[in-house]
Amino acid sequence: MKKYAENFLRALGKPLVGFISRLGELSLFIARALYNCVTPPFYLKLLLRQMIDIGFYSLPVVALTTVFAGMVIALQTNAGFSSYGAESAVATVVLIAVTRELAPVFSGLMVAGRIGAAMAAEIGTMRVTEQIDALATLSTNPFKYLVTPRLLAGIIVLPLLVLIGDVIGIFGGYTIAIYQLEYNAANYINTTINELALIDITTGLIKGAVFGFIIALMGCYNGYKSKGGAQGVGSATTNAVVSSSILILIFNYIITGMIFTD
Amino acid sequence: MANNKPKIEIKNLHKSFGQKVVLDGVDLEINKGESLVVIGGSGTGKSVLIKCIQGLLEPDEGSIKIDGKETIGLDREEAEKLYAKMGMLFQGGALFDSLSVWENVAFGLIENQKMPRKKAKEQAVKYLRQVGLSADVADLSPSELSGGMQKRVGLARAIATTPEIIFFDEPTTGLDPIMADVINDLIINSVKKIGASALTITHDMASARKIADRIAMLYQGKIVWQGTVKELEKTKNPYVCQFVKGSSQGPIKVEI
Repeated sequence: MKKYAENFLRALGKPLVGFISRLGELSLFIARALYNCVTPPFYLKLLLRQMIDIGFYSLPVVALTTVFAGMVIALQTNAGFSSYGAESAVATVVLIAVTRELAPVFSGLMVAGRIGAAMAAEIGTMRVTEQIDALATLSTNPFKYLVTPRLLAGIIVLPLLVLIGDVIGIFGGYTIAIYQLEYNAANYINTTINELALIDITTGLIKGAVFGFIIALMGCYNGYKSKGGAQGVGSATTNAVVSSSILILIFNYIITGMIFTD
Repeated sequence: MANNKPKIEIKNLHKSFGQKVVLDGVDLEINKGESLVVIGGSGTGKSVLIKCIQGLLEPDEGSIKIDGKETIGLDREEAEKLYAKMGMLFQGGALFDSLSVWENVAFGLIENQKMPRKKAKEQAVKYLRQVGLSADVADLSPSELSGGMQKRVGLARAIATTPEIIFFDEPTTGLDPIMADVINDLIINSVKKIGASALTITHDMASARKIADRIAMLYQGKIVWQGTVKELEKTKNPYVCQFVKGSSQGPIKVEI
């Protein structure tokens, strides 16, 4: 029995120590990143470029995913609620589902795939080709130059993407309701406006900001710590996307729980 | 008195990574305006030595003084001032591939000395000429250049901020012998021109003989020999003899 316990602990030992040291490393990384966010110098140009990269160029994927998400919710609600007056339910369900959940989560996941991977690959390549060391030797703080603009851009831009996703998702639901299910357009719009509550929008915005932080953090952290050439950059990219996707779903639950349970 | 002080003074420097001891008590001095070349096999800690001096790695033990001032444990602001005096040519060039060639060369001028971009570009073109590149390459991206050209751009970037100390990390590795010699000449000229002290790490003996005022040999984390190029030809030190001859027989054991 004692032997089994010993073996069990031994098997647990190395991964556990590894996990805890990663956690410590990540905490230090976050602390350093946040400290550098609030101390000069600031690279406004780089921030702007990141905002365009993360925000503007993600618009097509965010628009596509949210429009289809809105459409499918309209169809499903109609199918599920047809016996109890689906017409008013569809508008409300589309509104709530899109603004609270679908727009933030889909935007987050799409940007994680698009931007998180790109960040990890770019910073990881800079790490293994010594470009990060080169920044330091040119007395430029690599954290401020690489990590801070990405983090800030993520936090600022993701909520904006969520807002746009809200509008497009609701529009997707509307088109299905009007053109396929042949509901009354005026009623649908009326219901949507009447049911629209501030909490729906702010929830989405808060989620957007948190997801933006997670995506940029995971992208930068995995890239920054990558080592060992092409393979290291490859696994950094994978880790960035996988970890940020999982964290987005976990934090989506946590934030929903904090806002919608009394 | 101040002039007699060595530019860099390293004493009893230790650095390990986990169980692996990389630097095991390095003592080394580099005088003002001197070009010191550290030779040694792959994995003997040459790069780690440079990274410790540059503050990219924190040594476990020992002292590194620059201009007589201890650099280990400096606060952030003082450290930044100190490291602004240093430049480095990286082994792979380490050019920023998101920037054009001239932006690479002018990076330190624009970001730190806050030079206006137009003037910085003129300066960059001047430094590119100095390393034998024409103004045409200024607007290219680093990935469009050959290995030798990338090294030259790296050199131009390293000297553009007129540093007092320049580090060269295997400057001739991966180049053909003629291009290697061109780079050697450029290193000698550019270092002399700005009056900098230079620390080069290499295992290319032809390059070491050419650019060194003094040579030191690093083996198993310690300096096992140092002297001038002339002394190098005469020395009976078994480590140096084996390394210079490039023989697999001798006191240096290669881990296979």
